[in-house]
Amino acid sequence: MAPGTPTDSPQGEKTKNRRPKDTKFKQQKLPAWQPILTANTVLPAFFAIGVAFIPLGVALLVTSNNITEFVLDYTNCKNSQNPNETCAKFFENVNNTGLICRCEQEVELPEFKGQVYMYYGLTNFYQNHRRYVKSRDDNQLNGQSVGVSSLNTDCDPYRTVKGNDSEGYAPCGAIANSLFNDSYTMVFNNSVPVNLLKTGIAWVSDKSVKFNNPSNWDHMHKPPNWARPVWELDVNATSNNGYKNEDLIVWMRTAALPSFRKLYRRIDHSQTEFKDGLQAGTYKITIDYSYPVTAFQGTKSIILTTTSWLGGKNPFLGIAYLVVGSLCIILGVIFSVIQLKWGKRVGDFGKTFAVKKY
Amino acid sequence: MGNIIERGKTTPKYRTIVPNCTVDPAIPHSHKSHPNHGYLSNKIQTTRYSVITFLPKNLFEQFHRYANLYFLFVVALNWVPEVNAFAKEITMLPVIFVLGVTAIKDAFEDFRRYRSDKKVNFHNCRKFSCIEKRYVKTEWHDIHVGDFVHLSCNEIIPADILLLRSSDKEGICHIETCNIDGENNLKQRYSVKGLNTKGSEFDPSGFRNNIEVEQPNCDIYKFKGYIFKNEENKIALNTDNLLLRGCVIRNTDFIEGICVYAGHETKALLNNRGPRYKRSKLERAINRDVVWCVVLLLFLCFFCAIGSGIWLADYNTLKENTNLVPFISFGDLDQYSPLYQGFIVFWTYVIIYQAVIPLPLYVSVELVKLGQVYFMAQDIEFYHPESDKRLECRALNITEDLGQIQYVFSDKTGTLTENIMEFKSCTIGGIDYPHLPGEDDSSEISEVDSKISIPSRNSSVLENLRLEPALQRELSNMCLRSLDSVELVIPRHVQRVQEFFLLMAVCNTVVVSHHPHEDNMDESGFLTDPQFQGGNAAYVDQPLDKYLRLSQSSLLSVRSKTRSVASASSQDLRDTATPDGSIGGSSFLSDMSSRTRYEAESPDELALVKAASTYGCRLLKRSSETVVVWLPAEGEVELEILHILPFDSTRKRMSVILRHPLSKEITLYTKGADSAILSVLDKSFKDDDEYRLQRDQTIECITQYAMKGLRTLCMAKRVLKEGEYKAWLVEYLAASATLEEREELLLKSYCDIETNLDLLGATGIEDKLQDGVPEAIAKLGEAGIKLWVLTGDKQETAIQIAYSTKLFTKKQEVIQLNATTKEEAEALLRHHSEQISKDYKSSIKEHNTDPSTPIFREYVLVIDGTTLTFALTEELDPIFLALCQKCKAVVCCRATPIQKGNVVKLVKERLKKMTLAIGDGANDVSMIQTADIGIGISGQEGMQAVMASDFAIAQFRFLLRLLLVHGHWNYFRLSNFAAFMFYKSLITVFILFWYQIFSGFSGSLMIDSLYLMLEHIIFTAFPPFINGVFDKDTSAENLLDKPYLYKAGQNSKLYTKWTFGIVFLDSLYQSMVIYFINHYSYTNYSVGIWEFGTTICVCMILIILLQIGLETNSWVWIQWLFLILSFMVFWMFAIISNAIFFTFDPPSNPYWVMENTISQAIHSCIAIFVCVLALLPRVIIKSIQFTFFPTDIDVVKQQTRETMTTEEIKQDGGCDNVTASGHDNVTASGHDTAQSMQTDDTSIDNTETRVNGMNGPNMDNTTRRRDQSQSIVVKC
Repeated sequence: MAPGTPTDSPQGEKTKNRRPKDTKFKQQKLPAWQPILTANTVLPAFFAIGVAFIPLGVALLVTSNNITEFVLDYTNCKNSQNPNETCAKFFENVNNTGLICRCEQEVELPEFKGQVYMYYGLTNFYQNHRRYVKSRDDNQLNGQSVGVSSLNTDCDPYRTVKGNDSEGYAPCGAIANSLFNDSYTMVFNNSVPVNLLKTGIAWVSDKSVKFNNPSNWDHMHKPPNWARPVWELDVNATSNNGYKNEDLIVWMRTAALPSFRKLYRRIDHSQTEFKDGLQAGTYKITIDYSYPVTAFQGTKSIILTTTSWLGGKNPFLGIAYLVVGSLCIILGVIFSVIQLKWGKRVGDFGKTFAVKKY
Repeated sequence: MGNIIERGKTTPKYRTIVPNCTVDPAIPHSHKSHPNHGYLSNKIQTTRYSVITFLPKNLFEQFHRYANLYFLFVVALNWVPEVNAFAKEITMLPVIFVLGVTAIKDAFEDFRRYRSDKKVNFHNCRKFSCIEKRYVKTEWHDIHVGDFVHLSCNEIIPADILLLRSSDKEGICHIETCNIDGENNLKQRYSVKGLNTKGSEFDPSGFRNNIEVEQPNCDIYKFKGYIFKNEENKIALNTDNLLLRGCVIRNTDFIEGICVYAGHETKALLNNRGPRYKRSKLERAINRDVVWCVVLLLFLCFFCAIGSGIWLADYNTLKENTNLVPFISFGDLDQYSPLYQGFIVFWTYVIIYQAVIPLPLYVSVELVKLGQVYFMAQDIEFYHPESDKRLECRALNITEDLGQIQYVFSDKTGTLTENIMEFKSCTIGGIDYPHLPGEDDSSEISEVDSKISIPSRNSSVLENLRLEPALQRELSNMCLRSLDSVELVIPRHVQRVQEFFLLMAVCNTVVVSHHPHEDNMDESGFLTDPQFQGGNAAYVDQPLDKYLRLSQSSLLSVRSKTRSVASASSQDLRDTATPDGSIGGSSFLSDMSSRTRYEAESPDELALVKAASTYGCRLLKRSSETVVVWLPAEGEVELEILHILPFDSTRKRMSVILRHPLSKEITLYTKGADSAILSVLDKSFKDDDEYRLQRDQTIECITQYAMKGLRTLCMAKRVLKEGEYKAWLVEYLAASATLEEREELLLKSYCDIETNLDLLGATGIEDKLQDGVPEAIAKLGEAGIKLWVLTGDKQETAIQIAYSTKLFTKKQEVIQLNATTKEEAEALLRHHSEQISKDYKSSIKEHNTDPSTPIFREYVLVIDGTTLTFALTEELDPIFLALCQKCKAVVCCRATPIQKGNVVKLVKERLKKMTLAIGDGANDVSMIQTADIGIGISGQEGMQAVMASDFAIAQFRFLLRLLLVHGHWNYFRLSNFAAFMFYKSLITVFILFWYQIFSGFSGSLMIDSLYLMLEHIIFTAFPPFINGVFDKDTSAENLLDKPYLYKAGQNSKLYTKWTFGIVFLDSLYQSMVIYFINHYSYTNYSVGIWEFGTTICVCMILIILLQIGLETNSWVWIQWLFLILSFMVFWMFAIISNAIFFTFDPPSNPYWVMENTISQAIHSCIAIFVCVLALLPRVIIKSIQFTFFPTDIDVVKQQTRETMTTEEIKQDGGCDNVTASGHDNVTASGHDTAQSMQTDDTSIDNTETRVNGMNGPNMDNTTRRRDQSQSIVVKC
């Protein structure tokens, strides 16, 4: 319609303007950084990674190598009562379940410097099995007065005493029931017993907050596999008794992988003989073997190790850092060569070789 | 709405309607005893929920989606104690989140529908009140079947109304039906004959006859019914008596009628199928990949279930002693069966791996699209200040389809052009009168007016035309002479001028009405005529005011109503006012003082009449027998119309035969296409030199006009001798009396009289092209988009416009297909098809010496409506399509709305191409709805196209930005987004999978289920979303500058069937890195399952976030913020939750786990290493791809980077010229390609040495030349 016709006037009256706001945000014109990944922009990154990773890898590797570690697999150790029989065999006899098979091992140890820890290691033990992991009641372990009936049903079949629903297990569940119960003693040179500390092996947070003893143990029974009830785990020290027993706490923190090690004892370095670690020499380790593992093709071992900021002896990470660091350097060099030869312009390479692109 | 139709099946065929005034007013309409109680009221409701029903109904609907149902199943599965994998309550988090977000979205949409319903329902209209015995103002929703309704001109019909009375004495009422059928000519409806309802005495309360009509149906062309006058006597009713809801009353002062169908039972609403759900192409691709996810899920579940069985079978000793394997704890020996456990664990894995099907994918894709739509609507480039309109996104779920369009189907009039016809030029007797461009300077025109003293001073408002001075002079001379009343011999040319304008004024079908259609009833139902309302001084005193109000506000209100009524969809009504005079095809115009309005069928005629009027030849009155014109020389003249020979496409001209009142001379005036007129000129134009010169000059002018893109019309006349006329009349009457071959005979008789014409001249009318159309079309072409123009217009005009829009170029060969029979059409199609192939082959032969630049002849196709009808039949459409594909552009002219839709459908379905249709009129609705994307131009012709469209823009040129910029961005963003969603799910699931191998396939989780659940909805949800809305691969300027970048989307290059494969491999690799590096690093380390999982989870979240960082092309602060925030939120959440919950969330009870884990050095060592190793391949591949196999986008990015750095250098004054010029070298060569490599090389080398010389030798040798520019900047 030609302007000037009377119908145009309402347009003029319309004051409301629908023009969008011209802000940088609404117009999507905010200042932007537009990085592009070309061979040459990633080159510095490659070199930087290489330069950073190789020393780090070396450091990790050195740290790992500086750790002294001794592993004693005692799965098939001889029964000291019956030298013809291994303890593993001993437990194949169903009647021996619950008994102790003692075995003694003499080992030559190198020198351990610094704090030494004693671990027990299990292999092929699926502590990460879904049903196993769930089979616990944290409220019970926390010391809350959990009635037998309200125990976590995931604890089954180790929740209530068979045939009597009003009597429960303390602590309930498969994890607690399968508590590792071998015990070790160590004697240096057949004369000096090495003092092993039972405490300080669990997480402080677990010990102080997560695990607490209940006010009473009414209607609670020891789990079927246990030799004595939970309130008698360490009758000598109340702070290490009941749910607060550190062996229990350590065991209850289920391992991530089927082969795992768990801290068993700390070496007491207040002993004058061992104040700088463990001396090199012969040690006799006596094992009270009561935890059968051969049924599931598992092994058991004692591990003595020093520690570092990185943890245990494991060169994997150091090597990995070294490999990737070197790889980055090599890549950097390759990219440089390619870049020098072909990469003058984006796409020149493609064009030179007539590579089809869309 | 469709289900209402089915209700009719059980009810009788007819419904009886009783006028409501015969019913006791105390009975409510809904009451059982009311005779009309079964019929719906006029209230429309398109909302799906009410406040109460929202929750149950919405949930019910949401669970109709399979994905949601699946996740509900998973949640339910988790409650089975044997199976449960996660903490029961936590599993519900994502589902609740997704359902909640969707519900909020639905509620919002429903609220919009509610508001638009309300707007429609609360329109005012007048219904007869049986109590007050007069019409009262009421609202639409309050109209019931059986009510009497009074409507004024330009009002929208609120319901289906049986016409009982019209202001017209013949009982005729004109309605515009384009809201319903898309035809924009006026249609006549008649009031029911046989009732004494004419005149003003009609009293609705006295109307007591029952009416019987068909049950509601959606057939808008069929209506049957009866009015019972008494027992035996009934009056039949048909479609001609029915006014349909949504139509507009035109050219009639007022009408009254009784409502027979209301609300959802009206034909308009029964025809309105509501918005279709469009599924975008990308979404279809995503769905395909979701199927892969399902396959993967099943595979993983089966694999793990079988693994679990095998693992368990190893422990067969359990059967003897349940205590031997302490970590397998079954109370019941029966459960030891590996088969049974495998089965149970299968379902556990269904829960654990549920994330492989990205639950939030659909809802987040929708949210991303909402964000995209928001920013599209905010784009200021789409703002059209003249009409105060911006982009309007009506469809929310197909934004990325805009980036994949292959075919664009465009309407011509109003889409490519402004649809404003302007008289631009004329040539009379061979003399060209070029009119200078008319500007909006009415002062000048009024000056001119006074000079030539045209009686009506206000006529200048008729046409904004700068009068041609020479022509004015001729006319004013004529005036003087006639005032002198001296019968001089008028020079032949002056006579021609006069005749020319007379022809312009009379040779048409324009109707003059001297007053606006005015109803003497005001909005509230009071009669406003001063006679009746004597006491009301306001109306008496301000008649003009009242008129003003009517003419302005009524137009305004009509506009807004047109839109809102047409379909009750969610529609913002604010921008409805387009106060223009041309409504539909009947343009009218008001002249305030004399209240003269012209109502023409075509805007061209209107332009001519207006132009003539501006020059003083004013059409004053037209009836079927006479036409009254004001001529400057003679004053008011009444001419007798003997015949009107209407326009048809064969003759391409129309004529009127007039008899002059005084001289009794019979004259034939003809106007038509140049070819149609020039071929029937008098033979003196061949023989006589003077005449021939005139003819040639005229032809030259016409050619010039056509070159300028004007629509040309030739004007000619013929003086008929009485005898000649009589002879013809006999023939004509005979022809019109025949029954068979009537049309051919009539045509022949028309042609007989339209010979030996005397050429008067020609006009050029401009249908102004919209701004930027040729540029936009050129760029669309460069972008690989094929443009087809589908128009209802004439072939000549269409071709002209095609040339002026640069759709056709002079180099291209135009193939015109005009066939009248199917056989002919087939022959034509085949012929041209073969011809092109032949040409193609021969051109290959010719140019085989130089294969790099083959010069093929380009073809463009023009096809008319008739031929199109044949071409669209099943037998011919393959040939037609094949031919079309060989042509650069296709123009279909004289196409009906249905044909337009069919053409689009053909391309969409047969060629499987992404189609977009753009149009502005109701006749484009069909194609707009058929195409994958429909775009409406919110222009002159009503809002029908906009209502049907997915996006509405104000100008055609905005299409370019919509497709090339936003379409591309949206497609790019969404394809990245979708791929990333899959990546996220897969990597999580794979990490869990690897762990299964080392946990006896027991379904064990090392990552806290709370983290797993929150990962997708909080920890990693926002950065991809932000990228989906904000990320840009390259700037808008680049995309517009280099339209070929659009092809990536067209060819679906960014999200292909390999994308999922790549994502699969990438996530597989990364998950292996994450899991196994952790696994082996933590070997010989006394690590608990949750610390292990925490490190893995930190690595996973870090890598996902870093990955999105790698995928980000353009970083703005928002992305930084959300990326960092996401990680911080996860980290802080882990720390805080681990510090608080010590017995919560079994079995992980993550008390102090996070704190313990991160305090160990190995955690950080692993995390850093894993991040580097996991992302390394992607970085390498990306950079190699970018450097050596760059996509077009990559090249553009690089170029942008270079130009930017060059500018920086130039701006840096401290730098000396050597470096700057050296760098110029680099940039310049950047635009060259391989052939300049050699020189390029040396020049760069030179530069480098020079630069090194200038800046010292410290420059790192490994610094690439590419980085040179940056290093220069730094050093400067």
